[in-house]
Amino acid sequence: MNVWNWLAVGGAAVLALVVVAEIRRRTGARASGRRFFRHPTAAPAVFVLAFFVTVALAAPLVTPYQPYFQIDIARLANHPPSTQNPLGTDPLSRDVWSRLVYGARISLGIGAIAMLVAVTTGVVVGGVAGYFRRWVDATLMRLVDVGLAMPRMFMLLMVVALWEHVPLAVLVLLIGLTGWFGTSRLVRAEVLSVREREFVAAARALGAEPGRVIFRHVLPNAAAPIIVSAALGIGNVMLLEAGLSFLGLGVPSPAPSWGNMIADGFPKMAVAPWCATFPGLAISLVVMALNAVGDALRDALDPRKETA
Amino acid sequence: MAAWLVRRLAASIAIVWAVVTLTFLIVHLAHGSPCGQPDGLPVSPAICADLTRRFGLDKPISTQYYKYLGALLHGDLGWSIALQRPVAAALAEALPNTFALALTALILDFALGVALGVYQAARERRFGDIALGNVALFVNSMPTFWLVLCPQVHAFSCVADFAWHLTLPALTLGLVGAAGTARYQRAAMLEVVRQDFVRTARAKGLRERRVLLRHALRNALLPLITLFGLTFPFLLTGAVLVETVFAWPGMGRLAVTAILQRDYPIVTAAALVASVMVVLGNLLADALYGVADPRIRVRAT
Amino acid sequence: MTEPLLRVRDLKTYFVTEHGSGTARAVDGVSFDLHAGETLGLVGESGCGKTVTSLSVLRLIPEPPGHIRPGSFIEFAGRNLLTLAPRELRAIRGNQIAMIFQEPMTSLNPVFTVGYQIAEAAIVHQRLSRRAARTRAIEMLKLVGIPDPAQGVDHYPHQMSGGMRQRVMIAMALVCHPKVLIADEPTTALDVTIQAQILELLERLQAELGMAIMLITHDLGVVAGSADRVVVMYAGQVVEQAPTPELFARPLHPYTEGLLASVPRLDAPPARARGRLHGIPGQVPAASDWPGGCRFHPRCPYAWDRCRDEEPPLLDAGAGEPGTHTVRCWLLTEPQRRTARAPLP
Ligand SMILES: Nc1ncnc2c1ncn2[C@@H]1O[C@H](COP(=O)(O)OP(=O)(O)OP(=O)(O)O)[C@@H](O)[C@H]1O
Ligand code: SF4
Ligand SMILES: [Mg+2]
Repeated sequence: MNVWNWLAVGGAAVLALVVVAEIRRRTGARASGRRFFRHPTAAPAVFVLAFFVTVALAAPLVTPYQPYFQIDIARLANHPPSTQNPLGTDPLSRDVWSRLVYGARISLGIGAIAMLVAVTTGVVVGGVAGYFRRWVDATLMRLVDVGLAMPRMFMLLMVVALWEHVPLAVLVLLIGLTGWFGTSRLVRAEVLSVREREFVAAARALGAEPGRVIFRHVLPNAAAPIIVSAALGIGNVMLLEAGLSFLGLGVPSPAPSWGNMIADGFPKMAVAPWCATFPGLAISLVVMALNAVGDALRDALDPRKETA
Repeated sequence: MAAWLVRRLAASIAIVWAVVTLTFLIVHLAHGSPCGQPDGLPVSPAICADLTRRFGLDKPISTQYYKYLGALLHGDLGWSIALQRPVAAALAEALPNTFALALTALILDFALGVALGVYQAARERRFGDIALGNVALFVNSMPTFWLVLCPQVHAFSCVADFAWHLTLPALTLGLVGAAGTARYQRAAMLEVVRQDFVRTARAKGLRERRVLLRHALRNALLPLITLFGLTFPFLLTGAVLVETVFAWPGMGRLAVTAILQRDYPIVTAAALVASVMVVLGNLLADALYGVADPRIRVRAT
Repeated sequence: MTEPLLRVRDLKTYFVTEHGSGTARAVDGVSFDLHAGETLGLVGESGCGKTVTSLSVLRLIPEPPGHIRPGSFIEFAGRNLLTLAPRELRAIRGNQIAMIFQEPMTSLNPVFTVGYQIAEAAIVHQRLSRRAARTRAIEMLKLVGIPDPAQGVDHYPHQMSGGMRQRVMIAMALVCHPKVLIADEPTTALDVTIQAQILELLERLQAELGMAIMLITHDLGVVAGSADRVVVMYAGQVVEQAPTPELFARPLHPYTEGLLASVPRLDAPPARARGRLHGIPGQVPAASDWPGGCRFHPRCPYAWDRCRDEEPPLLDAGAGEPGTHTVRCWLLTEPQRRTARAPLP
């Protein structure tokens, strides 16, 4: 790792700090913003997320090598952390730090995209069920019951293992499509309760289209729990991806997803513990940050506390 | 009450049926046959053709499906291709192992989780709460299989003792579960101690311990039942990763091995077991609510 | 006069508000006495600190955000409750001083039978056996007029109406025959016919058991029928204090005057919604932001410069013994100003 890499990492840290400060400044005027940052872990968590996202985006700047590059298999395999390779090298003499950074792109990307798919599907299905009610609702909710009764990990394993060569995009889609059941229930409940409220009846009496009225009021009302569950869900997806990769059924192998890195490093735990330790630490840290942000958001967006 | 029970049972059976059907479809629409796969069984083409015919894999999928359902209704789970034995026998061997693991883990999970959650709530925002909260959050955020790398124990596999074998996976599952349960329990307690009846209890002159452990906890345990309903099937289906890492011969490992070997009958049977566990978890949670919450008890009778 | 049973002096209970930016002085220097066997009415609009005062007596203020300021003094039977060890405090709570809360719907624990909840104080304080406790609970239910008490004892709170729950609360408070009963708006949450029943019940029980009652209400009409003496509170302070007949005959504080004007009379439609007085213009300010000078001056029809600048102390109105009738108003020093302006409508 050269001076420029170190500087870039430092820059990323500074940028992340700025992001935290900026968010704090912009939300400080609102009670919800203050409640968010009152959580002692909220600011560090936002920092961790901002740092990893920045580093992932600026991967070529902060890393000395390409993630697949084998530096010197004869002399630099399983090398412990040093100034040149701050997190050591793996059995194939690849730089763990570089792989970790490029892996952040994959792992965070999978988490975010899969969650986006899940939330979108959940909102649409829940909205449709709550809006049309009757048999549409009944059918969709039975579907959700079945979805919740399927062991997610098991189903994913099955699909991935039995259909050979599942491309990454399909895997992400699958993870997303098995993760929307809870969200749809949430949205449906909110739609149904909004329907009951007077202003919908009033708006309808004035000739407004009920669908528009409902969606205009539902999304803001359901936003808080959706955002919270999305934050927690990304972490969940990342753990799921890691689990699948660990079993050799996730992201195809040379790609440096964090799950893959742990799986690859697992057998070498006794010789080169850094190979599996650092990616595991990275996952834990990011998931922890997501959980902390989710917790703080739950508190901040709690409508019952709005008056306090 | 009876009508409610009948409806619940019908819905449960429908769910199980749907999951089994879906699994069946996924398995049978997938490419490939049980033999000749890179990680499947090394079999000669002749035997493979014979196998395919014997198991009816050359028939149309609808025929296979009806045959499968028919057999299932007679309690016949089929014949495992890879293990060369009845599926039921394989399950009968794996299930008790999973039960032992799951039960130990469940007890540890909820006993420790509830205790920690209550303790944290009682010391809200003080050192003990914050420290435990962060530890729980961290444990809860780790990939389970990575957690087991930390102690680095491969040596245990030479210790044949069942109890010792059980300890590590159960400890892992239990501790990770407890971390989640504690977070849940803490939130539930804090929600309850703000309520008026807790103040009433204090006004009676009760000790703080009695106020918290009797008046508050009884109420704060109610939301935990939902969590229990979710954890129960997760553990009883076989925690796939932990069982694999620790080479624990339970349902999870059986299922993963079967998937990798394209051992269809076992895969579908595992899905069946999993969905039954989910449904059972739901029923169990409902029953527990009925026992623990008088407001529901009365409505159900 | 005999020694009072409960003596509150200069009670100050403050709350630190959410972001730590302000302090709500919910109760700000309240003093009053409660004698054995008497009924004291504590009256004032919503938010004037009645509940906080009563919770402070039993030290039930949630801490944080609240705290009782040093220098406050609450003496019960010769002991300062504010410096009592937790153990001794517990021996008084529910045993010597009991409390009925404002919210009968949420003040009962939903997962225990009412019988258990009634008997619990007796189990703890008098070491009653389970069976004796149950018998006691049934007795108490009979005492507070619940039909079929032998059955009601096994009911859960959600199976009862609001009026019945308030009776259960009363039974719960009285199970140890306390010397002092603090009743915080025992009737506010109930409808009118049941209100009367509950008040009658309290009166009957007081006659039977001989306890002192601190009856908190925002309704002077309630006080007129049941209290021996009345303390009127405004903005966290006592503004007037007198025996009931004296107060009704000769209300001296403009706030009391306004309260009396808004008491519904049988021959007139009620001029008052729950907890809000339409007889007095304006609203109670926030507890974090009391006005300077006399706290009532923004709403007072007589207010003059002095009221804005100087906070009036409690002055003696000179009826009977000193301290019988006290008023926190500068009008006492310049009575001619009262006639200068028309009183409240
Ligand atoms: N837990 C609390 N946190 C912060 N402030 C509080 C709290 N409890 C009471 N207060 C403050 O104390 C003030 C007085 O409240 P209190 O409940 O004593 O009024 P009250 O006279 O009983 O009114 P009501 O008739 O509505 O019961 C409130 O306006 C509020 O600002
Ligand atoms: S002191 Fe002045 S403002 Fe206050 S009540 Fe008396 S007359 Fe009104
Ligand atoms: Mg009150």
